[in-house]
Amino acid sequence: MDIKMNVKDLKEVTDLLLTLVTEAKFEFSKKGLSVKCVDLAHVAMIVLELNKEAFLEYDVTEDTELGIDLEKIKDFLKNTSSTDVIEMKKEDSKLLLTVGYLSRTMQTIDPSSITVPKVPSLGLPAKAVVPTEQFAGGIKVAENISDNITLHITPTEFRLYSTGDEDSTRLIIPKDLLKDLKCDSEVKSLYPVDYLLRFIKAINSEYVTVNLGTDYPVKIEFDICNGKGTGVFLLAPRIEE
Amino acid sequence: MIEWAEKYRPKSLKDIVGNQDAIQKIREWGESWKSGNIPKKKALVFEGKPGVGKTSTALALANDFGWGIIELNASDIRNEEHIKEIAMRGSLYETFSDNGDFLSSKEGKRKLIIIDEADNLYEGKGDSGDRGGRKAIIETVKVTMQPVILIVNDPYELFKGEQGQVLRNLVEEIKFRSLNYKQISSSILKMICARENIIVDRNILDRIAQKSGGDVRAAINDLQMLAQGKKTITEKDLENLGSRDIVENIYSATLNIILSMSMKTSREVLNSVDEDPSLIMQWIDENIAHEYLDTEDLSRAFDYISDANLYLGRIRRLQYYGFLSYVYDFLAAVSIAKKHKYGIHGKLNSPDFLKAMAQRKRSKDYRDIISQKLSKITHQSQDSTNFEFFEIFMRIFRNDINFAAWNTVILNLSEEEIEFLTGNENVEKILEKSKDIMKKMGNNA
Repeated sequence: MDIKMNVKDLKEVTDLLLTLVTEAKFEFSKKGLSVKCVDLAHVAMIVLELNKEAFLEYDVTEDTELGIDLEKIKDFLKNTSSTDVIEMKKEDSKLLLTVGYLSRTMQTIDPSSITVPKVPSLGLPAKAVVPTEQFAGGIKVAENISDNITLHITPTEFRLYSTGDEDSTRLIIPKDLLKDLKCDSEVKSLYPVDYLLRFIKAINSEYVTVNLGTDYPVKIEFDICNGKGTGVFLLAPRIEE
Repeated sequence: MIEWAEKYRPKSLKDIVGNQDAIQKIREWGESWKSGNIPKKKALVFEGKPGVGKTSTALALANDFGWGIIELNASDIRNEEHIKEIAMRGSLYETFSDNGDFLSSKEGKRKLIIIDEADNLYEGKGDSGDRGGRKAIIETVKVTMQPVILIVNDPYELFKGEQGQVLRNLVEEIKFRSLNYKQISSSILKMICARENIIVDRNILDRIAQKSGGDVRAAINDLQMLAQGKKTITEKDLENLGSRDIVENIYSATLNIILSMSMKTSREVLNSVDEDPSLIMQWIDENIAHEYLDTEDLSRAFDYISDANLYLGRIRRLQYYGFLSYVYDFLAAVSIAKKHKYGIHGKLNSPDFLKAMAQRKRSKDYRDIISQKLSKITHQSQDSTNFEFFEIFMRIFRNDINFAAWNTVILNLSEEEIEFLTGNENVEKILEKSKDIMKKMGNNA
């Protein structure tokens, strides 16, 4: 396995994964790269897919699984510029990272020690395509209000609100300001705000597609690496008393 | 190579051997979670020695009900932050299983949070330790919307102190008893041999089971070791297991010294024991008083032991191992300290002095707790109560059941505290009587 990609893209991938885990299994096939992970509390999942076209060079002749310590990658990338190109090459049980004249090897982790979740098919009834900037704003203002935030889709609007002991916040986006809205009857669930916050800070997608049900996980689809790949974020709802 | 202890871990509660009352209680608790009525006690504490099936039962429960699992082991960092991030978070939200299912608690699909060795947190040892771990466990148990199981060897460690008492009121304790050797041999070892196509005499399985002292994992490991690369296990293999065991060596040396009347043979036996001489001394020291029934014999024996100890001290101080020979001489002399010949009474005890040290620490803790309670009545500090009153209090407590019962009520003493005060006598009676007193007080009020 020997590939080249933009430092910026690799950084985006690692930052996203680091919101949930510190180690992840990178699965390279002839078609491209796939990474799936679930956090230790089994509350959230991230699935990332990058086609081989997303890479500058992609030489993978057989399926390769790499167990990667994400912090190590992140530390290495700190010393590079986002316009650089990074080469990743597997050498036995080690991974060789090269950017220009700078390189480091890192010991990979036994991939069988990292669990890769299967991704559930959820059949969520409502969908809203929301501008990321506004979505992020709605979550950021809720940060210090409560541990939880409600996502709510009605046939006419997308809502996001949180209610604390004293204060409350809300974001309402009407249908015509959304890129798309599909909803027959309203649905809503309560989610942990800090997971959403970490997630939203890590993405660069212009829009996010929010798929929602009542007391069901939310499935947020988004673009990664300037539209060269796709990501899915799944978050389980709070158990209501 | 797969460990058999893992390979044959029971998958379902109905496959668990022994402790059927406990299993039934656990099943009912699980049913309650499944039906959507969150039980009053949201956490269970599994208490019992290693290898009695605590972890297996927890895993089997999750498997039977199709629940997800979050497991925090002793090998994980378990400080306040981590427990809150993983266990407490997991306890408030719905869950995804490893199979890629969404588990909805409305459909009875839960996430079982297992904190293994919850009595074994390394608290207060710098940042890398499990600081605040117990506090976070307690908070998790308070707020959880998902079933929680704490697994401990020593419930006292978990329940000590005021925080511990709070926790104790929040949980239901499930005691796991050791399996007897017949259960281990005929229900577990036999099944494994059948599945592994190993031919072995029943009698041999019994002996492996006996040797495990009720620890199923130990028994299975021994069996696996004996069966390595073989299809039959014979009496002779069993001897290998014995001679590989160092404790057996010390055991037989101790036995020899107690039984033998000859210094020469004892000295030879001691020479052949490949173990720390101070450990051998502790073995003899631990057991001699049970066997030398004549006090003069015993007195002479202890004289020799103390001489041996003197030389051990000198070796340590001077780092001069030439004295080791004298240590063995004096230890061997224990066998000629007796004027009578003795048979052996029962099993020799292991001088588990680490255990003894833990015990000592524990009694000090109990003494502190009781003194603290008592100090509210004596209107003194805990220290002066401890110093001035405790001994007298304990003496009266031991001798006067009425006094004991009343003070149990007044000071709200726990069963363990009563056990500590009375040296484990009349505990039932005192508890019963204190219950009567409570009842009467309730009627008058």
